[in-house]
Amino acid sequence: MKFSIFLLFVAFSCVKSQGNTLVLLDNQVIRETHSIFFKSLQERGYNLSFKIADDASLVLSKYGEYLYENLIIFAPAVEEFGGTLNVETITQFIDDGGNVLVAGNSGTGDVLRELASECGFEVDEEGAYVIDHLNYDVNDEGQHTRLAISPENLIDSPIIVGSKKDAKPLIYQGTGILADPDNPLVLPLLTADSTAYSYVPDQPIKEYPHAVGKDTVLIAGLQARNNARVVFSGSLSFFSDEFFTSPVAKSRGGLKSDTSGNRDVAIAISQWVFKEHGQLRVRSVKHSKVGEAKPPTAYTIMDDVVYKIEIDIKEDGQWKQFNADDIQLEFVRIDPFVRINLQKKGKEYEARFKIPDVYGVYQFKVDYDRVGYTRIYNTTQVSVRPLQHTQYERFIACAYPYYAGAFSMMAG
Amino acid sequence: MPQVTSVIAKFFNEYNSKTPKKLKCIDAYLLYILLTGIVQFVYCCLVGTFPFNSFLSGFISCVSCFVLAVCLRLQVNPENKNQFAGISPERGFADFIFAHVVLHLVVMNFIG
Amino acid sequence: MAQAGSKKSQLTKINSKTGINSLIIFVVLLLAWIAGFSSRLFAVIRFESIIHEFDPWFNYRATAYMVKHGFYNFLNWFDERAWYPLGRIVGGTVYPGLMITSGSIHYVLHLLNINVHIRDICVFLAPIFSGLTAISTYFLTKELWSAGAGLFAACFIAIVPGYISRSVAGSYDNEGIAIFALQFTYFLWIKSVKTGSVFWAVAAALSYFYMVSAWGGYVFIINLIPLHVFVLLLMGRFSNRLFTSYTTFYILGLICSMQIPFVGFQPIRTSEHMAASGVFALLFAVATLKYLQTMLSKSEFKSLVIFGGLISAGVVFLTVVGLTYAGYIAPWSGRFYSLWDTGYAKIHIPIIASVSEHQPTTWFSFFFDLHILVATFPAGLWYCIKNVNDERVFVILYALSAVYFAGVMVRLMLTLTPVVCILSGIAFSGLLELFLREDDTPRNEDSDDDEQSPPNNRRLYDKAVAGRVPKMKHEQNKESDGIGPNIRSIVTVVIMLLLMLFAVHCTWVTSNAYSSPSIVLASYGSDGSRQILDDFREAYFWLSQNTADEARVMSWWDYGYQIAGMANRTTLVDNNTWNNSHIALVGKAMSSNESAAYEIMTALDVDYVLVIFGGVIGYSGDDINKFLWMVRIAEGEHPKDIRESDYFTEHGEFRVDAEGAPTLLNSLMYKLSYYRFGELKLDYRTPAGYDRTRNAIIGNKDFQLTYLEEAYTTEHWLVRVYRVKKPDEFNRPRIPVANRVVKSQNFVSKKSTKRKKGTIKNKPVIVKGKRLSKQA
Repeated sequence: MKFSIFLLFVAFSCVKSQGNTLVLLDNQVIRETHSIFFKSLQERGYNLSFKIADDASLVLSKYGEYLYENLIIFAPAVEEFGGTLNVETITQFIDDGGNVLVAGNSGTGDVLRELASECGFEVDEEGAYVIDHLNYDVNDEGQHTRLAISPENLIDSPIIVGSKKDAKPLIYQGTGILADPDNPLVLPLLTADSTAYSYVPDQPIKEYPHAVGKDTVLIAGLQARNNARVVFSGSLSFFSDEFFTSPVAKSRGGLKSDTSGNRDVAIAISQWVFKEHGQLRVRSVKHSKVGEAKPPTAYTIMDDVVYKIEIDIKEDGQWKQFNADDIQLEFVRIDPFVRINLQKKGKEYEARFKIPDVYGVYQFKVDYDRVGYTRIYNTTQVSVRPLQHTQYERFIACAYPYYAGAFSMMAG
Repeated sequence: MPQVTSVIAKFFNEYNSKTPKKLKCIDAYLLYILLTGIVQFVYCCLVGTFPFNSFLSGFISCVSCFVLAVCLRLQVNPENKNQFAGISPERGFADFIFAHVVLHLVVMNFIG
Repeated sequence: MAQAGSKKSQLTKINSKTGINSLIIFVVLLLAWIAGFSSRLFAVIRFESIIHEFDPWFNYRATAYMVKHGFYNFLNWFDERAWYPLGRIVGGTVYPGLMITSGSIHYVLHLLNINVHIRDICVFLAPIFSGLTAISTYFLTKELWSAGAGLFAACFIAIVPGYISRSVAGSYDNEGIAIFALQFTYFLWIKSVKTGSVFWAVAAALSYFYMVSAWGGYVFIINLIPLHVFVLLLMGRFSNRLFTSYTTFYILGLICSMQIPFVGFQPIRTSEHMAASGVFALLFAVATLKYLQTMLSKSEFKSLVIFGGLISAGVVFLTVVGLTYAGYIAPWSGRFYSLWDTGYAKIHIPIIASVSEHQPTTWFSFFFDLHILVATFPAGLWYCIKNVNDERVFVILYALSAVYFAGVMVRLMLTLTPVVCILSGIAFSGLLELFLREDDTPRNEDSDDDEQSPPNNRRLYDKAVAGRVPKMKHEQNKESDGIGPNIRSIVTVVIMLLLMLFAVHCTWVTSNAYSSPSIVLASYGSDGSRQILDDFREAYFWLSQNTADEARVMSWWDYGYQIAGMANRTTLVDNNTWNNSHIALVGKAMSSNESAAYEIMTALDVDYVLVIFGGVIGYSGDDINKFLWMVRIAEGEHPKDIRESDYFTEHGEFRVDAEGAPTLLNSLMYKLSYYRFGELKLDYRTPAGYDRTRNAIIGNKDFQLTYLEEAYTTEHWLVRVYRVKKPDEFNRPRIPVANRVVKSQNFVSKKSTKRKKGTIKNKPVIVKGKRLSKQA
């Protein structure tokens, strides 16, 4: 206990606090068996409060304000949360922007199952393990459930799971997750190999398994539309000290390493889910006619417009400029009339274009949605009006004969 | 065909001999307007109708001047005296001026 | 001296006679004005001084904008709150005459330091102009027939329901001032034809310009006047007066009408206006021929005519065909076609047919709007035909064409009404002239105060008529000789009774049928008490107070102007139905199921949906009753997604009860109208969910809305507002229980208010007093 206080103190002194985090556990043992993971969190400045999941005093919010920014549920066996916590309050917590990291195992309770379904994935039946008769670890106990997974199976996004290049193989033991592949919000962070399936190991296979091959998701992530992040791991032991430190080797050869890659991946995932990585924001949006500083009340058709947007990314708790070359600007009236790439110029991204010859109410729309990053969706509504009657061309050269004619008539 | 030409020739003779001088003056004005109108129309055909309102206002101002002048001519013509009982030539001219004022205000508004 | 004195007294006698005459005229016109004005105030007295219906709300909004921002800003006004996201150029798509009229009245009053709110001017504009209409009708009829007939006509037009329907206080619409402009233009036209003066023709053109700026019905004038000229030509009544007046009127009217931005180049481009220019050219040709005729002998003339005629006919024909082919002259517009073929609109342009005032007129409404005038106006027409002259030809043509058009469209009843009044005025004046005449010829002012002595006031303009009229009078005299005083007095009394009946009918119709503002409804309880249902304004006020300023409200287009005017929110479509495909999109959203509608609504950034539902109070003008039009309009643009037949039962019925078509029962409009209605029991005799408007129990009772939520429902459920949920509100891709692969058993909570502890499987029991051994 003293140690942890000291740690907290250290954490406070060196890094800015990352926010309060509630950790729900089946029992206090898990706190010890997963100490490396928790320690790394505390070192990064998280203020962890450990609670047993059935604690009668559990609350997420008090007087309408959330006490925690993040929630870790390492309590696979929980059947019902204590206090005011239940599936509704947790989903409400997500809808209000809170981040949740959940780890289950083969004995995942219904309440977590329900929670997973609320987030767009399903946990396989109670007792089921992901089984792979080809790619199991040497330390497996005979049921081929302790899998050695190649880092190739990680999602192709360094922002979530860290760099894949020099990643070490991973150990996994737990249940399988089903995710709807058509759902763009759900990300399969780690999938099983094509030879895997999810079933109860000591029962004969009577029906087709719920998850087979690559469709078996081991760790699933969700970035909700409000940018709240949820990660659901089918394996609690994936985050355990034992898996962090134990060597890994595929029983049939191939993958081999002294220590598993679990630690790196777990920490990377925790960094992502608690929004240390890949959090973007729009600092400012400016638009005006070329050569003017302030936006007009309404643009006129065929105006030349300049649009500037500043986008920041959070790195190490600091907002810094974000660099990318694939941000697009759309000028939309039901359908996009203009779609161009934004160019980085100094601090800002900039685009210049000519407003089309169609009047109406338009929106400048920047919709930047990349895997792992928070979605940037920024719209600015402007009206584009037709030419005023004083703005039409006057005294056109080829009309001079008409003028002459009219004036000569007048003289007459 | 020769019949037609002879008819036209006769027409000219009659015109020259019968029409009073005042009317001839108006006729000259009419001819001038007609020519201006034709020139504008031809020009429009050549250049295209882009400043359509300018063309229209120019052309219509010609046509309406023509119309007004014809009206004036009719009213002034002593042969038509019985038809325009209440309208003396002076009154006709005043109306003519009034119509022109209205017309040119509108044309000015429309042309540019 | 004595002679001079007697002469003088004679003069004063004459003067006093004309003085009395003009006094009578003045008093009658004033009374007509006041009667017309006050009978139009029923709406204000019954309800309050507000703008009525739909279009007037836009006119009012535009006027208020103009008063606030000035005329030039109004001309350049781009309204981004209408037709989201297209926007609308108001200055270029509106007839500005109405706004300019009331705006300038407002300006003048403020110059005189009379502080009148612009709304009051707008409310009372139509009644005031009805008085002006009465006066110009008087002048027109006077030109056509006699001052007495004119007075009759003025009195008729002041109170005839067919005109009141469009000009009650608060009905701030184009027609209110347009009828005045119409009558005044006709008066000036007749005047100019009579005199052949350029001055009157110019005045007619200016009045025509005002008409063009006020109402789209100006097309009626620009076709009727050429028709008049054309018929006169056919009748061989060409004269130089006709030539001067028509050519001046046409050319000035043409260039003036093009000053209105909304009209633009239409007068030389569209076929509707071609007749006028054709007649113009024809008139020129005829005039030239006549001129040549005076100069040349007959045979020479003949050969020249044949030669020139052939060439010119060929040239004209070729150019017209060529221009139409090249697209310079637009073919006739759909609205125009629908005038000839009443079935046309229903097939091709449902949006026009969907408006109730574009329906063909029923016989009943002829009687309802015109009452005895229907019966008397043929008599007036007969009088005119019998004593035809140049200007009576005009009124005959006017009457015939207006009767036809009024039969095609309810709305055009309005153009018929003035001519009916004129002709009835003529008829009554003719009748009374016949029957009120004393046996001896000196019979003057002692007659009815409406009656004038015709011989003094009637000017005989045309020689032909001058020759005929005394003869007719002679006949009349002969006839009247045969009529005894009894019959005479009986007939007079009957006529008086008829007129009184007419006045009573007019008042009754005005107060009952035409004075409801339609945004405030009145209903009568079983005990005869009167209740005001103010649901519309309640809902609009709610919108203006509780929604974001730039919130976008989707509703059927009927309510667009009201939402913009009263709630000041952005609308998608409104009563200016210029963009059919946009309306069809809204119609498609309303008639598809919820999820398909949601896609359309998010594409259009809709925040709120507003529906009108009359099932609770039995209001029949609600959205479900208009629903088939939405389907039809949507089908016109999206025939693959929406089919009208899907909304009917197998027997081809449109029913909302359990036997209704499933597509209908699941459409957005149905759901929004009947959401939670199944729980409502109106009274103990009817079952729950009983729709009073359609007298049916609704078929789809218990349903939930996924993508929308009820935001507001007014007291009598008349207006229901729904909020469209934003995509963020579907934050997580929740898997519905039915779609889950892994089934879980029903969850029963073991927690209670006292015991808040949760449960954990296989929880290690902690034995007190023992310490867990510390792990490494």
